[in-house]
Amino acid sequence: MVLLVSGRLDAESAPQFEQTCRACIAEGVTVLVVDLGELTYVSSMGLRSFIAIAKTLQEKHGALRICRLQGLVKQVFEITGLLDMFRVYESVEAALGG
Amino acid sequence: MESVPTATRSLRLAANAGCLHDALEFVRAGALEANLPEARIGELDLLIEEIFMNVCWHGYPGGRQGVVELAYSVPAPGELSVEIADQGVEFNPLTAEPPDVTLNLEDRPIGGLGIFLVKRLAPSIAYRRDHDWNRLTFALSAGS
Repeated sequence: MVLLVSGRLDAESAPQFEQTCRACIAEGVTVLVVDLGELTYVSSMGLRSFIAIAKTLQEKHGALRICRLQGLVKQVFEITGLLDMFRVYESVEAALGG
Repeated sequence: MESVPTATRSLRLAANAGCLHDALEFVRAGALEANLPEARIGELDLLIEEIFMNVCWHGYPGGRQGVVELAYSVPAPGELSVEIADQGVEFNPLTAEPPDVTLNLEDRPIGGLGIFLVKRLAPSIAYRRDHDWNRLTFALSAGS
């Protein structure tokens, strides 16, 4: 399953993103690829959602794979150590290949 | 011709998540006035969201209604000074213990990254308690 996230992931939109991910997990998805190529902004509320979803997937022996980070979003992931903690890929194809 | 620093502009909002959009719009006007580049405006949004939401969630416990006062000035072209103040519980976020960002997923807490981001993106940030106000001030510049 690949989710394309675009625009802004902030206090307002993060709960909706998390809900969408949880719906995928409820349908049986264990490997979730999140394409952030069109995401321009992420705040700590967005980061919180990524960590929570990754933890849930890990408990199910699955994984959250993140790809195409850029600009401010990449900077925020880097500062908070999430670039090293998550499985981060350059492209959707690479993420799907694991 | 030497430019004249602009006057401080301020806005008082309810400490309510629904007012975040107004807070961002207000300070963005300052960023435009200061001629900050797009990348810096993204960082400014992040700083305002983290600080504003922190006050909304923790500043006025027990359902107490409160305010957040935002102010900005452009001391020189390419420079923006911002102050965010509230009358909530006395709290200096800058003294909060930084999270361990080297932990693996299993050991990572879900939250606790907001203030850490603020401190990293605005190293000049300062706190002062002024009578019953918490006041956080920071500056961004086009070249920083």
